[in-house]
Amino acid sequence: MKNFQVAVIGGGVIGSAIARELSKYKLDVAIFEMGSDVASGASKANSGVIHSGINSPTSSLKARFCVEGNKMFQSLANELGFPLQWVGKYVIAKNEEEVRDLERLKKVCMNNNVPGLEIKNGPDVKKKEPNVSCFKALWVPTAGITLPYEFTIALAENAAENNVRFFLETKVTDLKKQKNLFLIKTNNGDFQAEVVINAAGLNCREVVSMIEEPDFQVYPCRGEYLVLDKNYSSLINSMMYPVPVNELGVLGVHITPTIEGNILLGPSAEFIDDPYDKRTTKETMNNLFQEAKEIIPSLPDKAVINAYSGIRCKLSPPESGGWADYRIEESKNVPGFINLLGIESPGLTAAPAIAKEIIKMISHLIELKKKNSFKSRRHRRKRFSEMSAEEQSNLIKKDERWGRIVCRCEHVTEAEVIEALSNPLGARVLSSVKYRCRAGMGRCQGGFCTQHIVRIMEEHFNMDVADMRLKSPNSNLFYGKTRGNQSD
Amino acid sequence: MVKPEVIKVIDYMVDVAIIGGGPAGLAAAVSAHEHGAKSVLVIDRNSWLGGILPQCIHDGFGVEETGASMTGPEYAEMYIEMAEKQGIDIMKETMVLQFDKKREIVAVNKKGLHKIKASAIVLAMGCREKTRWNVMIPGDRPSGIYTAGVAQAFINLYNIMPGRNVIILGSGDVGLIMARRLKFEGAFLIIVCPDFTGAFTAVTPTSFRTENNFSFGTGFELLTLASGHSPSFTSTEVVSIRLGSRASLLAYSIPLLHLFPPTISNCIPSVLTSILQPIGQMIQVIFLSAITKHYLQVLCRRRYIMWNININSNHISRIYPRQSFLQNFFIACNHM
Repeated sequence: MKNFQVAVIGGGVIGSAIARELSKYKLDVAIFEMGSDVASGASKANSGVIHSGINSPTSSLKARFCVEGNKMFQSLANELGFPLQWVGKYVIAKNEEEVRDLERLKKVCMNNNVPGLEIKNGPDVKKKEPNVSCFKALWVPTAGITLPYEFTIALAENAAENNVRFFLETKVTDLKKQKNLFLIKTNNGDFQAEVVINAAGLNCREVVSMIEEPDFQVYPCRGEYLVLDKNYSSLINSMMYPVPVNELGVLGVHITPTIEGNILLGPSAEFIDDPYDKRTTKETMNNLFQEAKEIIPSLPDKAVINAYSGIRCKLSPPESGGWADYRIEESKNVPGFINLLGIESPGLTAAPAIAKEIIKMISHLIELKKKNSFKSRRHRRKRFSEMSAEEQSNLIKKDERWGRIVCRCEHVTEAEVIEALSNPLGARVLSSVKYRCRAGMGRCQGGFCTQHIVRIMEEHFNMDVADMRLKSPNSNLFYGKTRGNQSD
Repeated sequence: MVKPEVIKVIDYMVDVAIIGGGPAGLAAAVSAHEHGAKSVLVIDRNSWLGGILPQCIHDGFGVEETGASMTGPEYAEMYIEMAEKQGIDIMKETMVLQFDKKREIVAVNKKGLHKIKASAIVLAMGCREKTRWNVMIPGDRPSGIYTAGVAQAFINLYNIMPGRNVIILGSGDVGLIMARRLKFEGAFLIIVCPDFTGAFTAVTPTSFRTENNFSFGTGFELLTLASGHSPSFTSTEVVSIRLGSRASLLAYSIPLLHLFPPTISNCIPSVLTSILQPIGQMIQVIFLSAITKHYLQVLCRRRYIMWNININSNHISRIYPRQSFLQNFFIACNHM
């Protein structure tokens, strides 16, 4: 049985941020993630927005960690090399009535110490955003965008480079405390740890119930998104939000530019019974379009290249408004068991600040000593498409695989695919490639590159086609070889 | 900015540069050479010529041109041989990264970056299949959903069997070709959905359900649907059902294919983008070279000047006025 000092359950953005923070100390740390890669759940399926903290009530944990986290992002991006742009956002008022909401929001922001806010008139917004239709808008300059999966991967890979152990496709099935140690049962064997951190997102209640009676419920709330083709990237420069939907405790359908040039429409908000029901629906797709068209009337109909949904982990049901604060606390009954409950939006922004808070909590349980060998900088995967012609030429001269384009939509080379598959987490499913180097994320959605990536997996990584998977332990891509090519 | 002399680029000058070495590109190359172009260069991304043809191992190609029905690879070979005989230059495994209005192409392959200056450029990049999202088919996102062309490539080029139990959405020629091919390769369950309009949710490996709650449990082995158009599963006549194991592949074919301009997002002049897009909507079927040939014959006679082209086809004549504002850019494509 392997012994760790700290075990983190869940390799989402929260678990990965905690892992990275813990990797600064002389500790044996393990992360258990049931998916085939980090960022397998809500951490990859969200808007990728670095919130400024304008939407949460003052003195809530959501507001506090959001504002603190926001301030940490730029230096994190510099260290870890994930993309980040401070594009700012507008909260759009369509009429006089909604302007009151803007004023209310502005007041909350001031109390939350969010700087630079300004209510602008429609024509002034139009000058910067010619495609947007609005009466007035609240301008929030401190809001930014990132790629949520790249951010999570960067945190996790940096943690792994600093000796945190990641156990992928490892589902915790039972948790017990015996004397001073936790016994953690998984499908990949049993482990022991002194401190257990429950960062299991939607499954946080399931983890709690392994060891004590949970005093809360999880109300899964699905949000669907549409991804627009890059051709339409010039429609907006900043994020466009409607005034928040108070009844559901969500921000409403917004229009978000992404670092890569695709525009996101969404998310919807629908409370569902089954937390695994991540389907998209025709009705919502149409609604997203209609709502977005109220802000951008010229939005083209046939611009969609992908659709997805993510599930919010809410602690409050729709009947009571859908809003509840985060719960970040050590169990009263089981010392050493730290729970992170109901971490939904703005969880991505809050993650680095929450991780710091967790370190503080752990420091009361275990003596923490900084290690000198911590490497804060992560080797950033360079994109061929971002390089100058000189850089491209030089790399091809050194390694001809830089001259073989695998993904034609996004100009991803064979060298980049191989590098993505050689990641320090050992994640080797098709989506691990996609989220690391963008192969398959363009207009044809893998129509041309999938076959080349499969060939690379076979040739360079000796993988059997029957074992290749899309994104999770049971998402096999193929049956096997065709007749006459089967090994038996 | 990088100083130009620092970049190691390999330079070429050609009369006609053709982007895409599929049937349209090869036919354009042969035709350009026959009509007096001295240097013709075909640039293709793949390590083979023929574009999509090598994976189309069914027959039916070339009937109108030659009177004989050939398979895709045979038909491609005919053009490849013609091109070789005429000494047409070929760059394989080479991807065009950008070109501009001055007809300077930047391409990359394992030898490095190449700059190609052409008197005329023919765009023959073919189509890309629309994905389920382009046609807004909602549902889950399980593994095992492929466009028909991707599934075909796996089976015919890489000997990989995407699944043994297959549902095919769409029963046009592509859907039926795939159904036949999968059957030959030993697929147990093949469902062809004539006209699929509902949402689908495929939860591998246990169930398959549609919006109208038509639910397949674990275990259907053969379900053949009668032909004819029908808006949903339930009103489609089910001929036979036998128990089997699982639904692991959904190959679907959507007959409206998308023209595939290279890297439209960052390098094609925007004026060209707006031309290519509407054409993409009009082009419906993958293979034809005769029009291309005719197109270039006229084109070469008129010294590559576009607005003098006159073709006896409504389809082409509808698109050519839009091209006139970019001199010496041509589009070779397929047409029903």
